[in-house]
Amino acid sequence: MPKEIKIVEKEGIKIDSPIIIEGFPDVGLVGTIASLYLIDQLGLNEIAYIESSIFPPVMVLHKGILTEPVRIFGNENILLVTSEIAIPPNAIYDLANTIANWFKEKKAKLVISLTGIPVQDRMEIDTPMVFGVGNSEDALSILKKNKIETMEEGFIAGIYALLLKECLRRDIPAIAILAQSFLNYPDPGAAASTISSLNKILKTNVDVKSLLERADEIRVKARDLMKQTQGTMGAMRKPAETEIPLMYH
Amino acid sequence: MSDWIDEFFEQAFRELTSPSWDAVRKCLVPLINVEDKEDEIVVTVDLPCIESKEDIDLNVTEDKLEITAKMKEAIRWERWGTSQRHLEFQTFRRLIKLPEKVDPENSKAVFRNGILKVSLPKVRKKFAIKIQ
Repeated sequence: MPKEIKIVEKEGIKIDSPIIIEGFPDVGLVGTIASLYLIDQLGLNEIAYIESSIFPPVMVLHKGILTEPVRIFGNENILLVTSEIAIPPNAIYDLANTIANWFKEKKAKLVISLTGIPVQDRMEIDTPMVFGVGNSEDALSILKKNKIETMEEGFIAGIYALLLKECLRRDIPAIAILAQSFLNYPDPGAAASTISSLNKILKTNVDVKSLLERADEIRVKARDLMKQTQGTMGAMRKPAETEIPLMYH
Repeated sequence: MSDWIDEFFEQAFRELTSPSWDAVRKCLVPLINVEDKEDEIVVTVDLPCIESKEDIDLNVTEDKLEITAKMKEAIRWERWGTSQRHLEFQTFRRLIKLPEKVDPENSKAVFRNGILKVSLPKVRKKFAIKIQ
């Protein structure tokens, strides 16, 4: 049982069967960049933070206010979990377990992970393609209904892979939206592609124009988090995502 | 541990712990990826805010690659840190030690979508072996 990770909610928060979006630092920081943009565009407020003795001893200052680096934002219907620090590999099993328990407690109707899938020729791609992974037939039908191409064979690795599994164990439909991305460089273009697909599923209309216009600025500012994340991706077996599985049927 | 293993881990540690900016030279240190292929070393460099290939200087020797790139506008983070908020950065600069000797004269580079890719052929003396 996870014992070292705690979700601390702010008082007076009302949540009712939300859709939960997850964007932890990973390939190309796609999920993190998309999450921060969505928080701004959807006007989501901080509703909880996640603390743990196995996270690095780091706090963040924003406008002079001491802030936890791993936080949950949201409103009554949409919650968004993100982090401003790389999650240490030794914390991801317990983190996935803890937040999946919390999702169940909040009666989540769908969990959506936003992330990148590394492609070698990314510098030749102007608009990254998006692929979906689902944890059940119900989840796959959401992808198909929204015309998101699914990944049929392959390995997936990292916290989103564990979240798909932990949500399945708790009967929560979960999907991952993966955009073609640089592995080691912050990729706002890939983040924009995930948001365009998310718009279809949520029936929202988040305009990615200003995200793309500010892409250079984001790439400069995200370099340190990308460096931290590079240090964790090897241990999470991220290179496996480009490997071919043994297909036997 | 052998020397090259020591060197590999020391370099990886330096990469993770070194700051992404240089206050003395007033430059940012770009993210890089060095790929050791069979016949060449391929270095890619993330260069946001660089408008064209004319803003990039590349110098290569047999075992080092130096990149300097001038941004279209100077960058300053007015709320960042303590002393850093007074700093202004207008260039990226990085000196990369290559894992093997390369042939500088036959090296090639392309710059697209803010990414620089440098292909450096390895220096290899090949001898045919006659099968008896």
